[in-house]
Amino acid sequence: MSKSKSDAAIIDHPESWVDHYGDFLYRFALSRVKDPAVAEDLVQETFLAALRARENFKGRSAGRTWLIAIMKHKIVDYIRKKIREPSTDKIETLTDMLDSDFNDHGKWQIRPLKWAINPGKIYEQKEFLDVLYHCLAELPQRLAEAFVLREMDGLSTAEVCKVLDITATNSWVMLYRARMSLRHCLENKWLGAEQ
Amino acid sequence: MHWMFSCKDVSQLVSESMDHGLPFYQRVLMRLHLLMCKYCSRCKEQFETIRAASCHDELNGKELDASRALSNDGKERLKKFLENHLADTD
Repeated sequence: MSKSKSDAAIIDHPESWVDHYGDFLYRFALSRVKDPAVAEDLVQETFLAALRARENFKGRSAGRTWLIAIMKHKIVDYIRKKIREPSTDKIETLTDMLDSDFNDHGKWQIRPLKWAINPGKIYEQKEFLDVLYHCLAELPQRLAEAFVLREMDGLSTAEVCKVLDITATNSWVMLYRARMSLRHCLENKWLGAEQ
Repeated sequence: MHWMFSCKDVSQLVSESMDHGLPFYQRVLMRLHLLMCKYCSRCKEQFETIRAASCHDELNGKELDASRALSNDGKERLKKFLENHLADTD
């Protein structure tokens, strides 16, 4: 039996999810939220969302990858609730912040720093990943949704547009703002950048 | 957009090039600008780093602490929870 077939078989039997995926999901959640009780809650919420969406699992990805993608949304939701100040409607503030990056001639005013990080070894940079999740949670909700769908779930922009009911041009603008905002946030909160 | 792109234009084009193919002339002018501007190159590297960190395909579980696991009680709770919800949906 191939790996994806066996995955599809497991996803068809939710009663076996805890044994097959429980520890892996729990470890992933713990790597992001630190608190064991919260990590367990996140596993539960992930299973619940997966239960509701299991018709959509077509075996294109491994079951584990599918569940992790669901869990990433749950983690961002959890952090957003925890920081209690969701910047959901702060698009204007964000636009001002992005505009201040450039002068009237479109030249950098706040210059990007050099990041001391190797993208190939990104998973060794736990602190970077922690900050990235926090920065994501601080994004206006629609921008965070567009970003998570595109970059974490790996959807095409056409699929992102369908899910969020937006035009292609709109999706490119939203993704640009999300990336610029994450770049800013990471430079402010993560200590790996140098002049 | 002026034929000579500004840094603001290029930061937008770099982001857009990650989402869809750019027309030939935009691609060429963007690359020329990137060759000459270290801050736009940094911005591009940062976008790529953020993508690499977010991309689920790179997740292989190796970075996770294998010594941590759900407690037996936790597993039982989750199994019960799934059973209850399955009973509701069936």
